[in-house]
Amino acid sequence: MKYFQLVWAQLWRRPKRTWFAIISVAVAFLLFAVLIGFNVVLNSALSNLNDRLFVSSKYAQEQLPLGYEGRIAETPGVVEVSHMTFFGGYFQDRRNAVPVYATDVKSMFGVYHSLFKVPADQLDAMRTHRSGAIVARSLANRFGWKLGDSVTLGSSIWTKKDGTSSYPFQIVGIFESTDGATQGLAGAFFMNYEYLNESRAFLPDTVQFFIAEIADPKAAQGIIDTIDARFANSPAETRTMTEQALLQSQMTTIADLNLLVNAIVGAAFFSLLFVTASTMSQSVRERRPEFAVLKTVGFTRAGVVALVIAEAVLLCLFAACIGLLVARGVFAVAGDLFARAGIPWVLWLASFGIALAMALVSGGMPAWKAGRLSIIESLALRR
Amino acid sequence: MTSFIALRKVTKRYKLGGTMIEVLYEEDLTIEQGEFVALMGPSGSGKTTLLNIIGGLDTVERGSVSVAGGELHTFSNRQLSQWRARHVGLVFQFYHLLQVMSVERNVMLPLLLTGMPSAQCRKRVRDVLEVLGMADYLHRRPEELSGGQQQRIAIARALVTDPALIVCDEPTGDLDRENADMVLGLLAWLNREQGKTIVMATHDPEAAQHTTRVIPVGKARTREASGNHRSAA
Repeated sequence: MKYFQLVWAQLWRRPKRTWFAIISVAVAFLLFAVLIGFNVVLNSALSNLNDRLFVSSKYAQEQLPLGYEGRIAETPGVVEVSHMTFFGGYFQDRRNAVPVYATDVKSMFGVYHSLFKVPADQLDAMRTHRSGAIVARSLANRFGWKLGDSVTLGSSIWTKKDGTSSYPFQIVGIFESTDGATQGLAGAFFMNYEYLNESRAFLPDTVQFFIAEIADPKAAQGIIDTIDARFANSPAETRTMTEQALLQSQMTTIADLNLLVNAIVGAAFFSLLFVTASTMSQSVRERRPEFAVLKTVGFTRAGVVALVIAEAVLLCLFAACIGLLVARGVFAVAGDLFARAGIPWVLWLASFGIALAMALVSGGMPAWKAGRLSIIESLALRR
Repeated sequence: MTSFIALRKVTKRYKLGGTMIEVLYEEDLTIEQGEFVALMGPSGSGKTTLLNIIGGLDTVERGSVSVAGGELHTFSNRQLSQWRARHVGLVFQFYHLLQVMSVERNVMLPLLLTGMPSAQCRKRVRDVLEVLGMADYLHRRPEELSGGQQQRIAIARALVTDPALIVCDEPTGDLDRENADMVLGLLAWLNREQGKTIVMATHDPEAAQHTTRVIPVGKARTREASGNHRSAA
């Protein structure tokens, strides 16, 4: 602790320069933490998506007949089927987008029983309330909604038969998500499909996609082939894939981006070595008389080396902490799933490891020079 | 009986440009415990070199250096550092205080190496500053103080480990007459009342008047390594 005050005071000898170095290092760690954290959360989500199939139209943007539901359910290996239709919802203003899905909530929560938790009485309430809605806890918190509240949402897709696009709802349930929930659904607003189907002016009895829970993920390919063969050459052909494959295909672009960001972060860390090394070298050069004074009062060569290294370590660790804390803030505002996942502890450890390595590499040479400086020559610099 | 400071046939060379300069050549010097000695001589006479050797800041090419019981000419770098921490307090012309730290922290620096508990360190620093009349400036930064005050802080730093020997290199060289007299009076008091042995390099005759003995330095000659002697002055 006695030495900490000495090291800390020396670190802030030139505050502007120190802040510049800290900000540079912190930004690199922020990038690093956000990227790696994103990958960890993504992989965790993907690993939970093997036991469900996603059945959509072979042709983009087209709807599928609701009648397919029964035929998909008859396919051997399929346990339960549900469906969803995107509503294109917003609250009060088009800028307040709300991810609303029209569905059969009972079967949907059955298919996603491992990801979403909702009390049974709230699920039952959807049956008795045609305009009922079950919303994610995060969404309810965002808009301050409570059970029993009446809210009206607009739809940017489904015009009603009366020509308007406003749909009144009553909040009858609030669901919680587990860590493996996919980000989109983790913050969703679920409405009764019948309510949408009866109200909308066009495309009755159609849905956007089906979700089929299967008994054995290893048998997925056979079931996929069976389903797609069943609707081949029909007016509405299907394209079936596992949810994992779907998400991975959607993430291909992001994965490429990851590669790019990985390269950028790597380059940033590498160039930061020079920034911190230059900062430390300049700082040590300016303080030669001060290091000489430390030696005159009895600090050994190793003691002076240790002080400079400690300074570099303190700078890098302090900056890494700032970067990681900002990253945690980014996760907190990025979405429910990311907030819950937080920054994995291995990432904290890895970051501190990198910060230590950076400190040793960048501070090593200046420290060695400080240790070897001549007291007589260095004191003479003040004359 | 061995003297407190005894230099025997000490030779010291420096490389200046491409030439080896012999600043001290087979010098002898003896100082007893409790003396307040002024090493006097013109610039380049070798008084600072002698002081650095006595203070364990520099080593010799030949000869023996015995100070406060330590045979400095046999010491490694590390041993010299440890010896300095225990036995000597150094005061410089330009104070050499760390500007980023408070007066308290500056004076405490040598105590960091002693393993003394923090509370005891702070008490010791306060006590020393009290003696020097600087206790009110504990939390000030050196840059907020006058030259004379800064030199008193430097003296406090030299005294805080209670060394038997104080080595001062032109301690009044950067001060006006009034502050110089105050600093010299303080050194004389430390010698008289606390029994400190003080060796001071100076070229100021008025400063020398405060000491108990003046040793002229200047008859020493510098010479090129080839052996071709020339005067330092």
